[in-house]
Amino acid sequence: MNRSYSLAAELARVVTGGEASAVKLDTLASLINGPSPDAAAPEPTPVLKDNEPPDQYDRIGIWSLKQQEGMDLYVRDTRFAADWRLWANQHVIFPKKGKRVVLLGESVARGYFYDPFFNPAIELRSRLQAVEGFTDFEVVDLAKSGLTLEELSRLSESCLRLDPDLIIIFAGNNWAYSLYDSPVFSEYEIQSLTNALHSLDLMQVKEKLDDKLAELVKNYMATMASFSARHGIPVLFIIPEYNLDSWKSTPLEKIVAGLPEDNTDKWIAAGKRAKRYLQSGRLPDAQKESEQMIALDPTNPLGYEYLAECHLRNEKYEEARHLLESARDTSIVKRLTNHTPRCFSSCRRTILEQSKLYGFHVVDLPAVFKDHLGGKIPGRDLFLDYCHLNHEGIKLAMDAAFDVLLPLFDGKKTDVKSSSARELSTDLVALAHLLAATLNSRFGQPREILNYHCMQAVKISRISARFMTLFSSLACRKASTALCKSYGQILAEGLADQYNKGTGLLHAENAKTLDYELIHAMIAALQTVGIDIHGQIEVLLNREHGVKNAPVNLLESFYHMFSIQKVAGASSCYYKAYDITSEFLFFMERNVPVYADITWRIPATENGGKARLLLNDAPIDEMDVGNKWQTKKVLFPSAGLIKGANRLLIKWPAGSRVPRKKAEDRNGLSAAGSLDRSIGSLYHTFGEIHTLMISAVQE
Amino acid sequence: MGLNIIGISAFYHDSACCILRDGVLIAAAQEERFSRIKADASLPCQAFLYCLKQSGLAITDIDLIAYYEDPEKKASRQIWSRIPEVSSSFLLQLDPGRPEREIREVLGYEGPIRFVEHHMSHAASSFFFSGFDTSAILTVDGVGEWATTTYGAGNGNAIHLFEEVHFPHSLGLLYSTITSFLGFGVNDGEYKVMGLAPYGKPLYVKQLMDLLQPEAEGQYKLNMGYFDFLSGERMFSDALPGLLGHPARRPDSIIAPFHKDLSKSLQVVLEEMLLEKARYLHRRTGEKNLCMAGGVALNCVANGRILRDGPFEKLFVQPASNDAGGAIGAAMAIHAVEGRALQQKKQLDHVYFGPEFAADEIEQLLKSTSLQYHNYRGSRDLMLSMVAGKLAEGLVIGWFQGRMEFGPRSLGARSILADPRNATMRDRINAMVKKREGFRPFAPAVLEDKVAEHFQLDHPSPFMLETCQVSSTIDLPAITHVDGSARVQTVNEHTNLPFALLIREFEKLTGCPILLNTSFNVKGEPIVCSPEDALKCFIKTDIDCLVMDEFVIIRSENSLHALKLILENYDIEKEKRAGIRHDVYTFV
Repeated sequence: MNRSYSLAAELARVVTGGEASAVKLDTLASLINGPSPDAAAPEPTPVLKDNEPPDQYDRIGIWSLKQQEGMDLYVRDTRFAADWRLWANQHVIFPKKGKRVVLLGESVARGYFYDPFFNPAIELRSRLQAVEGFTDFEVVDLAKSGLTLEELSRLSESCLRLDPDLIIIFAGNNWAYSLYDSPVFSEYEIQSLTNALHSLDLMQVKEKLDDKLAELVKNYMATMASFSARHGIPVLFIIPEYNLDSWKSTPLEKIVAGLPEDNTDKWIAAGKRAKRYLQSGRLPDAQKESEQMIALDPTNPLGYEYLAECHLRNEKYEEARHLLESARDTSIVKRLTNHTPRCFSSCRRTILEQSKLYGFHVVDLPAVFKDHLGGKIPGRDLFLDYCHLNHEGIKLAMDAAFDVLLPLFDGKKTDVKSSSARELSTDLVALAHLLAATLNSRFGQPREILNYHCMQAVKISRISARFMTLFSSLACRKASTALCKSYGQILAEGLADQYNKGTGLLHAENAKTLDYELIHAMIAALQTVGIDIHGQIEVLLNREHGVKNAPVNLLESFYHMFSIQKVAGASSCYYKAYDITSEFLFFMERNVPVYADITWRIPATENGGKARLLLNDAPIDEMDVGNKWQTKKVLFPSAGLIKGANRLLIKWPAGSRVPRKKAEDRNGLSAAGSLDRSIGSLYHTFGEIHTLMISAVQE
Repeated sequence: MGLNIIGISAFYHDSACCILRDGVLIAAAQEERFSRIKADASLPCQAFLYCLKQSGLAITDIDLIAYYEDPEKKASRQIWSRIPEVSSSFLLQLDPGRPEREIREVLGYEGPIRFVEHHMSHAASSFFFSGFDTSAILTVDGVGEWATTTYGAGNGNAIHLFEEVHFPHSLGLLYSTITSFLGFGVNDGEYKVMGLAPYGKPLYVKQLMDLLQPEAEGQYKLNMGYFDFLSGERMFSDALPGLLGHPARRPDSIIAPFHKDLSKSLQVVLEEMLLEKARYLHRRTGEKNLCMAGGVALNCVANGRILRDGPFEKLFVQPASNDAGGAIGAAMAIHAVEGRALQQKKQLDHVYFGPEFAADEIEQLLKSTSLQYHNYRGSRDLMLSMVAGKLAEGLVIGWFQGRMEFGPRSLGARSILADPRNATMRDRINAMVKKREGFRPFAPAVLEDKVAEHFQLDHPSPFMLETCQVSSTIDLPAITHVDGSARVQTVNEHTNLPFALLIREFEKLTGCPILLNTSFNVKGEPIVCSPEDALKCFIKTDIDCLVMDEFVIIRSENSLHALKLILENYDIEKEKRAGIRHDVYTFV
């Protein structure tokens, strides 16, 4: 016993010191694993078991089996009421009468921004039922917003209880999340990935992740094939397309990696030049700089996006498509937070290959849309955000599915498309634009796309003005969205029913954003129809956020956008700048001088560097910032301030950062923890802020 | 020059942070109150930021961080527990470097970090706030590093812990094991067992004594054949149901007489063992004062018994005796080690160390909502009179005033209040407001100068840490337990003016200087912290009236159905990760 105590203490010392390799730990572990120290156990008596009722429900998603009047019904289960909003708004799934198609899928199959009033299942059902002899054809909608690959696997099996004649799987956008959220990697694979990360071989990391994703997809499709073969049910995969033209990588998806030598600085400089050349139309120069960006960091989407822009301006669509797909695919290398949903090329390729192998039918939307657009790049004409289709896109996708499906049931192709195509109400379409605008805003999309959605909405429906007025009021307030009167009004008037029953507008706790750009896009759009809410919004912003008696903490979620306060595995309680510029907003009711109390540092440098402060685009100061925290008080004279919104920029120095040591990364961490941490160490911060308070100078 | 010390407890349950300025406790709070994850064990990031804000300091002003246990020593116990199944992946999973790493990376702290042993943190949290010059010290909990019970003495700046009981022998783990057997959550349901005990008879004392064998001096042993917590999968072995002749109760199933009898038996066994060990400690130290801390010290029934039947004249129990209190103990211990004079000369008389919210902030929030409310700013007397009237009418009040309490009890800053004379009130609040088990008792808050008229208590009890018999001529069914006892909180104007004034108003109206006082939360959620938390809790429960500072919202004047639906079904905060495991004591 004493020996086991001392060995345990010795082992604890080794583990705490982080000095042991896995092999050494194995050796020490085998040394300590002697006989159990437990006291002798008394003779166990037979275990008395309680009467546990068996689970009486068979379940398909949120629907549980109930027998009523001799019928097997699947009824929405109140135990999962909080999730109802993510599924079809259908209370009961009745027994099959005629032919039955079951639709499985993610939010794109849900008809995000239109559901429950319009969605792919409704569109497909409408198409089918217009065919002679197909009136008893039903489409059971089992699509769920946010469906993961694991959930899809379970649902693929449980849906067989509905006795489908065809299963459609419209999914693939969420599948890569399995790479980050589940323990899918072996210890060996994690070690191999960690080594690639440490050697900064980012393309190798990407290839490994693509291979693993393909493996996961293959596994799922093999399971699906066994279900299909066992029950004789044909399967149709609809491969999603991405909004290649109009969705830009989010600020979080294009943060700069810590590259070897001074390549980070080179990448930043090339990016600045490329942007400038694009703005001035010097396309050959922009192309050269973009190519350098790609060469320096092939896993950052920005270089590809700039280069694609050059080709688009030259109407070279095929080259641009290839580059935009490459930009999209870079995100498989996780950049601290999860990327927005998308179907990666490796995923699409695997679905196509495996479908051929197993005899599955396929609608390949990238090919369908390309054909429809005559080779041009799909964008806002078919999409509302990164992957969610607008009503035209949904109709087009279902046209293609219908064309595949009809011959399977010996249906005769008739000219049913025009007759079945539903005319959607202008209110529905306008609200879809506005709700999509809120999502676009949250993901830092350019003002131009926010303007587009707002303008499209006001053009076609008067309901837009009501939504915009309420939303602007909601966004300006500090109170949680769920508690705001304006949110209640939006729900009561049914203005967000088509956005996951209104929940799409909610924010996570302590993460409400101001949506400042969107508010102003809405103000501008309303002005075009003679409505001016600018004044009342300014008053509200000042009342809620103005620098008055109490200091305003600019590190609250309202005042800074797209910084990352979350490092892999743990949140941090200070601001980390993953870009060379940090941007904050604060609001002044009156033109009085203010102080900024700031505690900051430039970590992983020898001596820190110089940070430049700009207020409303005018330089204020250039200050030394050390590599340890230091607190400064900076006066902003009234001359540089304006009544209303003031924009504070901190421009951090570029320059190299000291890389982490490998041993430090491995210290006391499991392999998975080590991987997360290694990913985190790829993206160094340009500056960090612990305190940033603005307070009015007392008169 | 001033010394600013941050104290932290984390990575087990009830993580917390506090700040001491020159030995004076300025602020302290549990992370769960901010994160809204019950018993949140993660590094107290938001509580840390709150402490800086409350003290007006930046991270650059912090001289030291004191952490409440020794990670390496704890790891050695965790490794020992796993023999013979120690593997390299298990060793990596232990991650004893995590506290220091996260303090550096998550809090961003660059200065020195000191580690204080777990039970020393508990001991310091009690002795240094007791106001005693010298005292015996007894700490009892589930487990720290190796120790589960310690015996010691405090004198001025010094604490000497001279004996300890080692894991796996633990009174805390015995209590938690039976708690688990009774179908309640470990580290969560121990209070329920204590509340259930008076309903039962001590019919299983003999069997329970098979589990626990007293030994010489401060020692005792568990019969490990009946326990399985070393496996990390469950608390008790298959032998325990056999010994007790009953299967374990399934959570949420009916509570039978056996369950009540077992609870009572456990309480008796615990009290007897604590009394025996307290007598031993008294013999060893010769002290007349006793300081207690550790999770088991929250068993107020046992505390009352130790004071009544034990050898000590005075008892001080740290109100935050759970691991949250380890944060203030660690900070205080380091302050003392640094050789600084202790400023905390008098006994701790309140626990209002949490955040407070300005009236402007509350009004701004209310203006954003659709709620009808009454604004009594500048008319507090009128507001108190109105609220006292509502209480007398039988309404249940959500009471949100001033700085939040530190520790597990609501003591009149974040409280639900009601008329203790109302016979139906206990069932109503349990069922409709707190949404918890019907047997659970409520505590009374009584004016300090009136306590002797209504309870067999001759000294202040500001922290609800003692039980005593109810002796009032007023019938107080809502706060009187089945055995005629109550867990009393005494209230005075000095430490909580609004609360004391409210009780006086209630007394004026009814002749009763007592209110039912329970924590402002619902089952499974932490006590409310911010005005928004209070509003959400008010909307989701059947609290009749919410009083925040000098604003009053009356349920009957508002249509809350839609808001309730939004919060219940749609609030995405519900999708947050779960807190700690309650089916087993998580040693790793």
